[in-house]
Amino acid sequence: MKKYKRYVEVIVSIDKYGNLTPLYILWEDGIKYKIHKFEIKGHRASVVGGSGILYVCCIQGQNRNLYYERNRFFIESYHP
Amino acid sequence: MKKWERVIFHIDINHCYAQMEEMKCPELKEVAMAVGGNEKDRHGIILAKNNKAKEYGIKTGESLKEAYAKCPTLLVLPPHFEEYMYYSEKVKDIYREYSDRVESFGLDEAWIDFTASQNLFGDPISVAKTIQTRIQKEIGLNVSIGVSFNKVFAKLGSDMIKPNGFVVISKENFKDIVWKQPIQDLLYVGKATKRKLMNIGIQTIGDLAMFSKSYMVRNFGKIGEMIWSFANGYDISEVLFTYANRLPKSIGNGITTKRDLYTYEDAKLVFWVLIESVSSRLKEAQLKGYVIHIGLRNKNLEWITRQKTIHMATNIAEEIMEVVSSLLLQNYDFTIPLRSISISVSHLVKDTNEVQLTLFHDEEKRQKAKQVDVVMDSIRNKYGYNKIQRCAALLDPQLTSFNPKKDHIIHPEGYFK
Repeated sequence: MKKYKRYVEVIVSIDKYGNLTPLYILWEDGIKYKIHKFEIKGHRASVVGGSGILYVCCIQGQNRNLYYERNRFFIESYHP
Repeated sequence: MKKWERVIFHIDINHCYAQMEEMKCPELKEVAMAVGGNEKDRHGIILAKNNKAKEYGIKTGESLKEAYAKCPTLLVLPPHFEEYMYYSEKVKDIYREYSDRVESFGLDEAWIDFTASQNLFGDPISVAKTIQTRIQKEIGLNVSIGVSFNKVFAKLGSDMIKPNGFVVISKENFKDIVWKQPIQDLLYVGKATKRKLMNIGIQTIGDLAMFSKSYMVRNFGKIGEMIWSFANGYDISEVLFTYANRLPKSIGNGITTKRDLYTYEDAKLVFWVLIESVSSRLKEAQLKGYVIHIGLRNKNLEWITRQKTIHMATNIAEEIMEVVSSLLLQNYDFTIPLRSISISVSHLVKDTNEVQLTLFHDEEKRQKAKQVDVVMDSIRNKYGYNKIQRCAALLDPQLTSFNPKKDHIIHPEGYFK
């Protein structure tokens, strides 16, 4: 299935040591998806184009790749 | 494992700007695409192109008009320099993990001295391959790598195969690989040198290496000796430390103006703005220079350059202007209008407070002129660039309304620092 690059709004928390934790992804229809757990894979290039720090996030039991590209997040989405 | 006496990588990001755009948006790979300057401001040249555009014969450096003539459907993107710098720094961060000697050569190229790092990381060839795959995996960019025992051959190696090239040139095989290459592939052999070398029957780098050194010195001077030793693999220039403090060799500025320059007065107006910026940058760096150099490009895109050496090094705008206007008067008659102009000051020395007085210069007058420059700069720094201007700048605001210090210009780099 073809994937698309889609920039998303993300609620994150940054602790006093500078560690960044993504908490929720805000989808355009207003739904807030909670990120249950995540794993940082370091700087990676994405199949949908672009590169950034990869957070593999577990959302509702599914693993999704969330990339922190310079100053914003994008996700490998199945919807254009 | 065989240890190399000296091993240097040269890594080149293929079609740098175009590839970074493709990396951000892979769909661009499907169409002929180029990154180019803004046509409205007349900086309309192709800065980089992708493989599809290359098939149409589009070349880097040609005007957008020529490019559209070859390929009417060409997609031209405006450059995003800030992003290119960000990603190229990311790539260089990977190089810096492997050596403390990483010398940038422009935005997209770098030399890495791996000699001492062999003890830590092992075989240079496998490490170079690792670097190549890491850049692909982590940043999503293709690079070409040349591995060799000197900087010149390393660069030659990385230029040989694109994209994703990997060429090893060792002391054992350089005669087979390098010597077969055409002469213009060697660093510092440009169009003019190539023609002269062709005239004496030198076609390949091998021909040059076999030629007599003394003949090259006699006929080509310093450059002749240099390219002869390059061809023989005797280049011993060092890769600079990553944070080496480089003094600039020259400070300059240039612009393609919004409309053509028809008269001496027009050109002088634009030169004033450029000279002010150059003089202010010289003062910021506490330097002054002996040689003043102007470059003129006319409507037919032909370049003329002229320079003049002065007796007292200067960074005073008025003095630079005097030299520039005399150079301009002597060397250009404006039968063909000018399209772009540039000025640079070189042979720089430290600007100390002690001044050698001479009988022929009024030092008091010079100091006053310098003080005017300093005051103008401080007003501009405090209140903004447009707050103080020379009256002449108002004669034609279309020509003079640009901020030469801020407007971003990336200059090509020279090999010798």
